[in-house]
Amino acid sequence: MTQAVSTDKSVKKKASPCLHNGQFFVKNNLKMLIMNFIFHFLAFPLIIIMLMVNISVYGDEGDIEMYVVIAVLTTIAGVITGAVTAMQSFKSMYNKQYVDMEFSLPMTSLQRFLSNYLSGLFVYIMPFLAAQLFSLILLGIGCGFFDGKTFIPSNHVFSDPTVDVSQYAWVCDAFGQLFNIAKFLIPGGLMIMLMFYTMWVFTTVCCGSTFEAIAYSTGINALIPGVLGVIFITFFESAYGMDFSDTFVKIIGCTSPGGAVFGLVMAIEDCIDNNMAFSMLPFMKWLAPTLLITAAIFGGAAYLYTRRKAEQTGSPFAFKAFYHVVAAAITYCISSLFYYSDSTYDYSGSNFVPMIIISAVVYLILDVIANRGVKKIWKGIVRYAVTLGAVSALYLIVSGTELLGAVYKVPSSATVASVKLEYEGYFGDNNYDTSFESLTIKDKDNIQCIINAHKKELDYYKEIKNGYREYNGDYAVTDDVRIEYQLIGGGTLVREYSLRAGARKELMSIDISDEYKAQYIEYFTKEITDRIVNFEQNLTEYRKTNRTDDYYREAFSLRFINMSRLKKDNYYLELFDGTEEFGNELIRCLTEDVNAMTYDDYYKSDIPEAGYLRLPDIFTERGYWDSGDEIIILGCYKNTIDLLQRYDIDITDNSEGITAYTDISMSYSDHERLMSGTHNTQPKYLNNYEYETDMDTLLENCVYRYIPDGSYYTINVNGSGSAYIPTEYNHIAAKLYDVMSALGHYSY
Amino acid sequence: MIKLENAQKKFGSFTALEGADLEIPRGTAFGLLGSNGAGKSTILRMLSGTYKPDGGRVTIDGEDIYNNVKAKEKVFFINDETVQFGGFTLNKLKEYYKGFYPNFSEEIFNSLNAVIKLPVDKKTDTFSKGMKRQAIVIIGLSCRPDYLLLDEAFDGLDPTMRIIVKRMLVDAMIDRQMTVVISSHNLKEINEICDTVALLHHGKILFSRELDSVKGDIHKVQAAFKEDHSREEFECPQLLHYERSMSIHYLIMRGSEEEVRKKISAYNPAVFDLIPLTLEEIFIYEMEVLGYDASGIN
Repeated sequence: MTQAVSTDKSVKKKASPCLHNGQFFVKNNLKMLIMNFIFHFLAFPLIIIMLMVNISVYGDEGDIEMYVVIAVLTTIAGVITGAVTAMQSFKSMYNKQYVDMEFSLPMTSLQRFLSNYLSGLFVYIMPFLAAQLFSLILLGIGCGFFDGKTFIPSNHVFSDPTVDVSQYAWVCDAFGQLFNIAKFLIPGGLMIMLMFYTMWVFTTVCCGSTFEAIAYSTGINALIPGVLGVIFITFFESAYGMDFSDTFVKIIGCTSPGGAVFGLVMAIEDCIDNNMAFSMLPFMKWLAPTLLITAAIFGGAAYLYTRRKAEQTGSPFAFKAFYHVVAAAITYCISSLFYYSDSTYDYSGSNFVPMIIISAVVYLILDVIANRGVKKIWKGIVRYAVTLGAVSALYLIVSGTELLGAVYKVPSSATVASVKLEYEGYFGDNNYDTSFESLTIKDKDNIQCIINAHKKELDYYKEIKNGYREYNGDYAVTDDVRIEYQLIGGGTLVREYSLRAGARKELMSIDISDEYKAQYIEYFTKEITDRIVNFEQNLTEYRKTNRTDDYYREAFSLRFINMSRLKKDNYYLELFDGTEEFGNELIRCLTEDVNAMTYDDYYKSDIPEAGYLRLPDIFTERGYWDSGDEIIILGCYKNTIDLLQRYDIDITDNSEGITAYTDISMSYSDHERLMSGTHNTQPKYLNNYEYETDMDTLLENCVYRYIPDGSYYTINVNGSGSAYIPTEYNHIAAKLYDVMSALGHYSY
Repeated sequence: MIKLENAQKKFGSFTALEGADLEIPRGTAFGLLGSNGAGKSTILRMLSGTYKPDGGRVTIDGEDIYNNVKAKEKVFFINDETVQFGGFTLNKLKEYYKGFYPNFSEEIFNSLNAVIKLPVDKKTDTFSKGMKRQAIVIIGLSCRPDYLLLDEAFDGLDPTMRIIVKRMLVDAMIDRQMTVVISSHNLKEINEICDTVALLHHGKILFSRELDSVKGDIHKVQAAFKEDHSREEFECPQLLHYERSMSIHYLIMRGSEEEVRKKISAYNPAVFDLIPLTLEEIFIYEMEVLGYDASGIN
């Protein structure tokens, strides 16, 4: 039985044990691979195939909802197999029987990690990629054979021979549309799967047993968005002026697989919102951080794996820090929600005992499981006390100091390079349909005005907080402002307030400043150029991009406002399909008028707004391609009004008298005392001649743009939008307000 | 050569190996003896590169073994588990290890399996424990490692297979100067295969010597004396164990044959026999001295 000496021809040096190990894993997990193939083929490809069948057989897209449900379920199943694959690839992390076999093989720990990670990933991802490749081929066939062709649904063909079926004809573009969605769904899905798998690997590497690997890998998917949500609710949502909701939505959307699903949906929605042109930018903005975080998780998993000892398999948590972080995070979530709930109501501390009971029970259950019994429970109690103390201190310090003083931070003008300001400035009023809502302020004087407004608002806040003012802000009339300081050092500081009048007044001079006017002119020049001057050219591009002639453009319209707006609901006059010449003239006139506008024109009560020129919308059968904005026409816009009159557009007062309205409300507001109230009634209750005359006086003199020094009244007819009563008419307004109050028809 | 220099290993607060020094020259058949939990498997896992030493060094041919692919290619570790190979057929198992060990020999595999006749296409989870053990031994030998580490190697093997496996090991040692390190509680097997042994207890290596030297250094004395003697009279550092049945005294004594003869002759024995000890007896008496015995059980 003497063994052969080494002359064996089969003896050869293997290129890479890492690759060999991976190949072996794949071969050994063919069943999983096939199962994944089935899951993913029953998803997107199935929908496309059924769409083809329906269009071919029935002449329309038909009911594919059932297949969409199947696709969602099988996709979920396909994604979840990532957990099984990750655990299968790293079974030596929680199953002692495999430790010697794996760890004694001639590989470095990094080679072993990469081999396990990549082979598991292959089994997990390849079926998805194959299915999506197949989907793309099917979409290509669909685009070639169906899109652009006219179909008539078969139910109309056969149901009634007398019906002219051509009216039901439709041009297919379903596959092009699906292709547009697939551009995001395929890489997005791949990204989510990659993150899911990597996170599961990370958790498995941190854990020491099967239970831990399953429980904590599952839990971590909920815990990450959970902790972020609690931080958001308890710290940021209540931090005055600091709105991090967009940031938090973005963070949640890229920090966990579950969150990433949400993030992808939001990103796709943003992509489609951008004029149906399927801009990739919002998607890339989601993809890039998600990829980076996944890479960081991968790096973390690789680092921990190479430092993990073989003997840690079977012991509780290979990396105790992981367990402590999870336990602390859960304790933090429970305790801060209780603290927050307490602070929202009466600061009575009544939530303290239930908080202790619930957090202690949860923590000690985790501790008993992690330490395999109750033998050292006292240590767990000490750990719990320390953890609770730490998270409580964190919560109390951060919330007590209002985010470590960040709420009160106001930069000095010397440190600010520019400010992006979003507010209801003259041309960006939320009452009107315009997208001119933000401008960039670089002028130092204007920046100082913003800083002054910011400081004043914080002063109000401090006074309310310290009990020096009665807070009745729910009814106070305010302006919503978003201030984004671009600091010289490169950072940004963002605050959002509903400015009280005193603070809002600081921004008045910006409204008619040169840089505001310049940006407004730039805005309407582009809008009018796109929609009128270069419309035909843009349309050609649109047709090319969307492969359809299906469009029409709404005619120009003028929304008459004048003072008559107070007496009639939004009143539209359809104009004409604007010509290039008219567009260019309009730009010129508006530019001259805006540049000529003075402070008095802007705030003077006897120059009303004349109307709103609604730029044309462009529709497709599927909805808006692009919706038009409204451009305000002021009474002082002499050139523009002349131009409109040359085109037979007469801006006249359409007042129909007090009998035309059916509902009146008046509001009273005192910004100094932050008091306000509203009373509402119907005109029939004001049928006394004296009141009718007073009401006419108010309606004739009320203005939209007005920032009063003291208390003031507003009036609203038929819910069309509030107008301010100038201070000199306060005595009439007060009389009518009291009458309405006495009438007792509903008041706030 | 395998070398442990002040090698330490701790599992939490438990010290599995405390400053172990050991040298195993190439071509040696080395036996690791010791009580349960003495640290035998820990040493084997450190030698296979599975465990990283917490202190000291563990080297093979001068190279640290942990995370060292070149050094690990020289070592094949067969542990006391067999269930991990359940999903593999013998052929698959062969292909798997073949990818890791550049010296793998199909010829040896075929020749060894021709003797044992294991089914190559059946999954090994259909095998008995002994068959799985045979399978992994065949694989281990086919990998042609310089160092073969066996933890409880003969567990589950029937007597015939034990002989065959032992023959295989011995052949490999003769053919290729392969070093075999065996940990087993079956001292008979160690006795038959190993030329050097180390005794471990509570994470410490008590001794590491050639087996002949171990055997020559401990003796069983069977003697009857003309006068009556009590145990206390024989008490000395060399006495490991004492028993008396009627007039016959049984003594286990450490020392060379000459030293023991000299010591007993001083008591003027009427009958005096010096009986060689088996390895198992040596183990039991050595451990008894360390307080590891069954004396507490009534």
